[in-house]
Amino acid sequence: MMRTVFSMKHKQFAAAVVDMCRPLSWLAILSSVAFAAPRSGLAAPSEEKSEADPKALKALARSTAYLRGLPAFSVQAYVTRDEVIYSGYKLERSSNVRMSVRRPDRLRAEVSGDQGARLFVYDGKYLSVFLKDENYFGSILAPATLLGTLESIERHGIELPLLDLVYIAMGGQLEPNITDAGLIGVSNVDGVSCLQLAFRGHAVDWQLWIEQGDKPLLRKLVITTTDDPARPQYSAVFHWDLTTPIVETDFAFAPPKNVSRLTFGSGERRSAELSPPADRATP
Amino acid sequence: MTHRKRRIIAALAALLATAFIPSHSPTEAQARGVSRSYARSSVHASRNVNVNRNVNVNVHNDYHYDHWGHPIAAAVAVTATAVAVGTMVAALPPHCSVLVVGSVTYQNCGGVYYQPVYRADTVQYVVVNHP
Repeated sequence: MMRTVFSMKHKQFAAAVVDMCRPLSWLAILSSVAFAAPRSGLAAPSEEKSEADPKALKALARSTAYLRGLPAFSVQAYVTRDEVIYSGYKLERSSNVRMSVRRPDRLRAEVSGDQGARLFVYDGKYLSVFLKDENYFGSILAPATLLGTLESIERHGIELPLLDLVYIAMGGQLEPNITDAGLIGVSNVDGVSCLQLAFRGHAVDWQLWIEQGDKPLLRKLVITTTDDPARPQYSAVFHWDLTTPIVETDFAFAPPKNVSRLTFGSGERRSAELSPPADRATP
Repeated sequence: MTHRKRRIIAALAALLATAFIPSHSPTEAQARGVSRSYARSSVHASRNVNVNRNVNVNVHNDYHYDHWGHPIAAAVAVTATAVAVGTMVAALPPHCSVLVVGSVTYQNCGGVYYQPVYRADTVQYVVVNHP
């Protein structure tokens, strides 16, 4: 609306100002703004009651059930993530992730990207992070399952790569953060025919691409952050390996001898002194 | 001019004034320090409003940041005067020496001790008391 005001010539502008002093013209402006509001396939949750498409929810549930049926898997992902710097400029950061997971308590994830090389290892007891370039190593006592670990690490400032994928594969639910859902149609991801689904939730609009056919694997995930005016995006394209055997040594890691110790979260305590997460503090 | 009309014109003027302010005009603190935010990377974690998405790094005496967020060392290193314990910085001041206590590597930068912290996928440094 302001743009149209600015594009007017001075005389028209003065006339418009005078015009706005009449109550009726406000009505006209308000109604025109209401009609000019963008219409999208997904209704904003505040505007009207959610009309989540059951077909989209069913497709998500089918994929989730399939992932939970895999005893172990390896996945490689190309990830991009916008960083908003103070001027509102969106820098795209990217990384490659190689991850192996074994139900219910093993994970190894190697990340190489703009932020440097990171290695995350969870062995059912400790979650360790090794920053190869900076030669830092940190380790924290973790819950006994991967799902429990995922739910508790956020408060330590640790963000595991491909968090949603691991979370749902281990039995977590994304449904609590769905206020709207739509089945968009068939879309191709790296030569694989997929169903594209669109969801809306708290602080995020997100899209999933799920492989069509017998193996409803996640092939792509896009998340738009909607509570930031710059609306930065995250995207991950997944390549699966369900055949290479996963062995115990995949989850073993010993840091180099000269490594420097890193703490987590607020850094008030040393990592060696970190108490176990609250949910397993009492035996 | 009636009182009501004057009120309407004042409201209109205020509306026009806000339209002229760029939506991303940096505040003084942002221009001197660095404030970054990343796209949320998890649908699951986004339910939690307090997820550590923002990296707000305090203004540092020895550094300022260019508008792409890179730290630039001050021409003359300012002695870090009374940096509060708990202050988080993204880059260390110049000329630090290493101090290892137990398994933790501290940096002694002109008498101020920094401890490395893994936070929001980067190594940051928090000011601590003499270890």
